[in-house]
Amino acid sequence: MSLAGYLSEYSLAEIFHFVRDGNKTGLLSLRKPLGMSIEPARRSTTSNSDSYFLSFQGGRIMSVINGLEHKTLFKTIEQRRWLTPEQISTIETQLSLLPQPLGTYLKSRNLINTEQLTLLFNSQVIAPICKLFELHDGQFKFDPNVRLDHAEMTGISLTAQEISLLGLRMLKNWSGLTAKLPAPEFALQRFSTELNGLRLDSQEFKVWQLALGEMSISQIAKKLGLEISKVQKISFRLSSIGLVQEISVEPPQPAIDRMGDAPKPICVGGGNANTPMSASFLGNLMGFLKKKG
Amino acid sequence: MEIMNLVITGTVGAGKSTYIRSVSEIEVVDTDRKATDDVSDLKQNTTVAMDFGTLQFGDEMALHIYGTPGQVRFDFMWEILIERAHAYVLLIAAHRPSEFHHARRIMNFMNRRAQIPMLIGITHSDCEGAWSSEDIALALGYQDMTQQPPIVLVNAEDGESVTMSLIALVEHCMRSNTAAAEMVGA
Repeated sequence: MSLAGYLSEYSLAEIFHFVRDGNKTGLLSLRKPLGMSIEPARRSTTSNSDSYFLSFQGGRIMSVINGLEHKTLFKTIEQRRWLTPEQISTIETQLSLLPQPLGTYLKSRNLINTEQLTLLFNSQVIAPICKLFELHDGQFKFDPNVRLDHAEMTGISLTAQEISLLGLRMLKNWSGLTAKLPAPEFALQRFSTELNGLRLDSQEFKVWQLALGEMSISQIAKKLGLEISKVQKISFRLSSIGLVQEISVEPPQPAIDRMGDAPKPICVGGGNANTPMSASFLGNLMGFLKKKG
Repeated sequence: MEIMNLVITGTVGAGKSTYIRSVSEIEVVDTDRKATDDVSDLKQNTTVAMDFGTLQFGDEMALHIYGTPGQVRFDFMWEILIERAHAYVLLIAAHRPSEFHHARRIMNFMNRRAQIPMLIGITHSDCEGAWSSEDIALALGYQDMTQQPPIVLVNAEDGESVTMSLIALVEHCMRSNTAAAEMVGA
């Protein structure tokens, strides 16, 4: 089942979170709204379409293609003149039948080296992704039933978590994410005491260390000497990559106890939530509902 | 009188008030007011304090159903209601992914204040752009299906569908009671 929507409703960071959590494989299409321009990062191809196609395998991003052109990775390699004309023509005939990503295929034949492969991945994936995070109003569609094209892959990949962290660090215009930022009175709770291989910068690491569910974001900002908005953005980054969750700070006393002897304005039932409902009650309720249904 | 307090919570426009109206035996007590903020794009009226409905079965047993406001500025009501609840239902509109983040916030809020059985009810699953329940579970942070609460599709306007969701919730309460009893016995 494909998913579709607007980035104004479900941000790219949330989509990446979803893809990573679900170890999703498929093709994510992003379309810029009419009239909006995202300057493509320096690319060796001349393609500059309104659409981007991001392929994922098991929650990892494999490639980013701008536009509907085919053989973009191959053309990039060709333009960089890393292969001889004879090698180019031989490989071009094999593109549709590649048993593995083009990059690793060429490297396994010693036609390109590791540095060249990394350079390809950086220009094909990392640079455009950072620009795509600026896209707040486009449309997206994630289709899990698409055959991924080996010819467009370097063979290098990053988890959607890693790429999200990179993209959000580079993001300058946060206007589209303002509503998603955790409120200053919220606290952060980390999921684990391990970073699971993720490399945080020093500010992210300090915020993560304080994400124990006790201090509010504004308290963390004060303790670290950072602006609240800065900590909100760091919190969003950490939340987007699944390291923390935002929670409300635990109230000192239950609300009802705080009312003391004052008349209770609302009487919510006579039950005691600390006592689970009896088996006979649940059995009777079940019988009643089944008759009713 | 043995009373079970059930809280129906969820995002704005997910169908909380409708859900209660579909199943309550009494005229639902509501606190709807004309929406004056962004909510008015979704619906004319919104709950500002709570909805209340009941199901009476037998002389001494009743299910009291409380609906929370969806907006975060009324979260003091969430707190009041969840603290006396025996179970809760989180309603999420499947076709509004923009609200999933807020749904997760509500869920975190509730789970932090009460460790009680919960059920996720997916509404509007027949609308264009609706996400599947599996994908919504992921968006809520449930990567492991064995750890997630029961998730059911529900049509809040259909009494039968709402009743089926309540049956799923009661089954879940029974399983929770059994599991708790086994833990005590272990």
